[in-house]
Amino acid sequence: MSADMFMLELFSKDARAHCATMSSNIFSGGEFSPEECRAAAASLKADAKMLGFEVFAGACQALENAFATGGGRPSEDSAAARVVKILSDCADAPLLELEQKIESSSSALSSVLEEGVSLPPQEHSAAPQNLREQDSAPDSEGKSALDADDSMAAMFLDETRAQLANMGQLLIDIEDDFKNPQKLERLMRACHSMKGAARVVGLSDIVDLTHKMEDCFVAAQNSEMELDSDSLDVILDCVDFIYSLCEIKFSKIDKAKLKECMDALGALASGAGPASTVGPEESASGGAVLDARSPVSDSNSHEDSIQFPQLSVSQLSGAGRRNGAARDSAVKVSAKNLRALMELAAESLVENAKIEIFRENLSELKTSQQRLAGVLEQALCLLEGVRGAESSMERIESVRRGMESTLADLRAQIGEIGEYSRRSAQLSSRLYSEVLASKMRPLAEGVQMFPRMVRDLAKSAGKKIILEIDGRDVPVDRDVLDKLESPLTQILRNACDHGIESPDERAALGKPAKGRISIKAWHAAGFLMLKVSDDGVGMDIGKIREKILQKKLATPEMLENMSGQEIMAFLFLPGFTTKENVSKLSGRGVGLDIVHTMLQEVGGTIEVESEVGVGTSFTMRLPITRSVMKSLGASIDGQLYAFPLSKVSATAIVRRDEISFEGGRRYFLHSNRKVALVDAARALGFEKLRTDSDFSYVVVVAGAHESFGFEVDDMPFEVDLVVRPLHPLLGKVQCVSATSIAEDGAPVLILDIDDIILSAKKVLESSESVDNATGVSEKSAAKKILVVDDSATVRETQRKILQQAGFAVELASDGVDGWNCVRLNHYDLIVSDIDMPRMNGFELVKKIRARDKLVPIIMVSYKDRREDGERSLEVGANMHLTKSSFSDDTFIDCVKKFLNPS
Amino acid sequence: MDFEKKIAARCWATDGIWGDAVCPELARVGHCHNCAVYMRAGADFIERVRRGRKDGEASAPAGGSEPSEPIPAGDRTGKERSYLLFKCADFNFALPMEVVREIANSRPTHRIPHRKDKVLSGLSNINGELVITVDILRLMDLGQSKCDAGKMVVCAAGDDKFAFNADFVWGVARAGERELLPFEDDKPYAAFIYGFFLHNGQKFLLIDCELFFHALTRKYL
Repeated sequence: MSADMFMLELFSKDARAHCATMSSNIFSGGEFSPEECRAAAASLKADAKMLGFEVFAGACQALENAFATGGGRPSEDSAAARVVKILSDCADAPLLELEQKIESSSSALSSVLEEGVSLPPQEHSAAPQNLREQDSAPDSEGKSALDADDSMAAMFLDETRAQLANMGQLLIDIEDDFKNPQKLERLMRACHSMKGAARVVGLSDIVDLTHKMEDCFVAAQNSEMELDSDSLDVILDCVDFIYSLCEIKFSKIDKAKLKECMDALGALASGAGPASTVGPEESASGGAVLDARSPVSDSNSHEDSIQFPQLSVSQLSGAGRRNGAARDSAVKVSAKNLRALMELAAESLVENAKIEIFRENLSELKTSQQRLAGVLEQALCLLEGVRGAESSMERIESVRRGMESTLADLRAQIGEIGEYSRRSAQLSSRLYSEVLASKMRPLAEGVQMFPRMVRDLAKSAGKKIILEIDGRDVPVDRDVLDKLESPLTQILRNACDHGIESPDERAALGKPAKGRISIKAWHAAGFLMLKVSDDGVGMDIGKIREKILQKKLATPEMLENMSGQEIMAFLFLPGFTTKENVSKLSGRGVGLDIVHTMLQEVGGTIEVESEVGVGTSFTMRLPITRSVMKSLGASIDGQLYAFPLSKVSATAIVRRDEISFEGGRRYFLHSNRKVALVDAARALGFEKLRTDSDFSYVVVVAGAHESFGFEVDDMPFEVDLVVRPLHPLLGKVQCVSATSIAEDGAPVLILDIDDIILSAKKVLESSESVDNATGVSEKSAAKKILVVDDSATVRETQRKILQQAGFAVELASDGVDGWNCVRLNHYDLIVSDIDMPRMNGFELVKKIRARDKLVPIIMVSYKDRREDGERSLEVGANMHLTKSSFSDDTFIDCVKKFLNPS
Repeated sequence: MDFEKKIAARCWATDGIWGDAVCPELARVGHCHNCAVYMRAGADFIERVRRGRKDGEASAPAGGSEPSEPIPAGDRTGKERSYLLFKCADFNFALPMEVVREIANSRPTHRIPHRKDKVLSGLSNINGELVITVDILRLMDLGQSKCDAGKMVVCAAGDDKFAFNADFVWGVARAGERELLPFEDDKPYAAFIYGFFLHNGQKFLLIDCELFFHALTRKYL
């Protein structure tokens, strides 16, 4: 990520947080705090200024002024609320579109700002509009009606989402046959059900919209109107709109967008006749369930909030309820809880294994008892017939009998413990499997958006493409499922853009006019296989060869020896593309790179097969779950590590006489290939004295161009490990991708094979330690500056400016954080903001001055206020600057003046 | 030596199995757990805790102190807080109980590759959770902790959990604000010490949690 993107990301995070603060104050039914909004607007303004978003900053300034003046909660149609909404929309834009979104919103912002942004007087500030409208309702204590009946709201949202998904699929299917009566009927029914449900919960706008959609399908059924691809676009747009409202739980309805949808549907219907003249109230549809008790709100209201009257569940449409019941009910569980559950289940498995040890101990006790009983038996035999030994024999016999009885008890106990152990092991194991299974979801959940996407892409490219999905029910770990979206999108975009030919080209080639893309999923050998194939133009291996040579990625001799698969692998290099022209969809050569990166992340592989004129297929091999990893456990420097089995080529025992030396490196031959031998402990950065044993246990791992053999302490063993993420506080640990716990409870680190290969190369290149940190001396020579500011954007801006000037920078997020840094480290200069949570800049400077009179301190504030400047100097700062000084050289000149006075 | 004297001298930590194991009673009882002195110390402790809860008095630390020398009540000592008292090398430390999550037996720590800083010892499995283990003596520049004996103290600031090895955990004590005395020393570890208080004639250095967790999360991880 470039530095600018990094700044943009920080800005985006800050902006979302600040907008959320303002939105929750203005639009929710909770308490309204102008001060909280003012602080959010002020921080956002500073961030926007930092990135040069002037209009955005101006809007924040206007909001800051309005909130500072005080007053009551602005109504939802007030200028202030609209500004906050526009800012929130910008903040919510995807990172790559953020700048564009801010730019395109500038004119809207300017026009709202012209109206003047202010808050209504306190006495008029009532609850937001959605609540004001129902002041007479029983629930008028500032709690939204949605909150008042969560179960009803959730049921409505669930039903609507299900119907929309159903419609989305049907609309794509119907494109093959616009007059298909069954599909038209199902579409009409879906609209009808949504309309009924919307009426029950009093969403009049949605009732109207779905009614119009229903009309279109009725008209199509009656042949009064002909559906075509363009009219489907209109209806799909409406489906998207309702879906987007579902996502925000109908908290706000964008009236402009609603009107746009209604108008477009109206235009469709008017082309078909007066089908939509029947008002929703008069429509027979849904009348049975939609009785007079459903108070459809005034459709003239500007922005409706969902208002669910207190109706019984039975009033929701039957179709919806059936749908809800039929679906695999899923509940949201926090990732943290799920992780804790998995850890406990794994621990219970480990603990359970210890019961077996008790049983074994008891068995040993039984054996020794048996031995003793045997000795007594022998003694009795020896004494038999000996005169005068009768009484002794009697006593021995009674002891023997006692022992027999004890032994019987012991046997019974061992049996019971064994039984208990088995039952308990079974339960733990089932618990563990169930917890693991709870992370699995059907593939369908990760691919349901693709038919629509392919349809839209095909349409925009003037092509006809069918997407077939086979294996929708195949279970996939939800972590893997989440990761699948972007690579699949990329492959499908490529296929739509330059895989499938235009209908004319296809006709000329004798292919059916409709191109076919298929996604096929299945499980094989513990892996999820995903194959995406198209019957398009295919890839010309000759062209790829040319590109490789052109880009000097390999020599002609190297290419000669490469297999087709190896040549295809170049497609996954960043920036590699065979396309001469960049289109809107693809051709920049970044797409397959993304695919490759994702696959590496989840520990998968990809293979490409292609034949010119026949098509291309990408076969991905992914772990079914990221929760359990098949691994090769090995002890390295006395501690347990795991190599992911999918990355291990072989294991070997290498005798000393099999090792050859070449240029200071050690090699051995494995399957007639030279394998570089590396001490795994050294590759992990441990200083290990090599023992001169006669042989080594080696794990062989294949790199891109060569193989490496990692010497481990003892014989590696295969093990299934439950993968746990690395502790977030550790950040990225070189050579380690995850952690786990072995059966005996010992921690295990799972190795990052690409990383350890890199590390091995360094070990081989240098006989010195791997960690010869080059930057350390540089770092220690640079003057060290502490930057204390509560805005991430401002901190990063200062860091950039200071680092560019050659200073070492440390950041602190507030006064307390800054004070702790000062207590632990020495700094050559400190830069601090004034207005910060927990401890403000003035307090911080006072504390610093109490222990260090000399360190130069620069205070920076948003405003050029004289009193800030005076107070800064009064508490002991050496200088006061405004944040505008970052944009010119004032700030850095000032820092340099303090640190390099010469 | 009578029971009270033995309890006051904490014989289990000196002559007993947590000490030199030279107590002649060990031959008979096998382990301090089975010794009447230890049992009495435990019973006394529970009784003091119960009494403390009932009367609002300060509870005495685990392992027994002189019952005749209770920690003064809150009104004489200022606002009271509970502290975990433990020993690392030659230092006795106190840590506010609010941050203490668990005391576990010492267990193996897995080192972290490519992390040269000795403050970070590695990861330990504590009840199925891999917890970051640190060396607090190294953190404070006081040498190196023993990692194969004693106890592991698990403490947390928010969601950030850390474990460290302590040679011995004395127990929990309450101390009032006014009992806390300022601690001054030129050595680097002084920055981590908020103050000290005396308990049973021993000096306990109160760790400054704010800086302790700040240093662990920012400086060493």
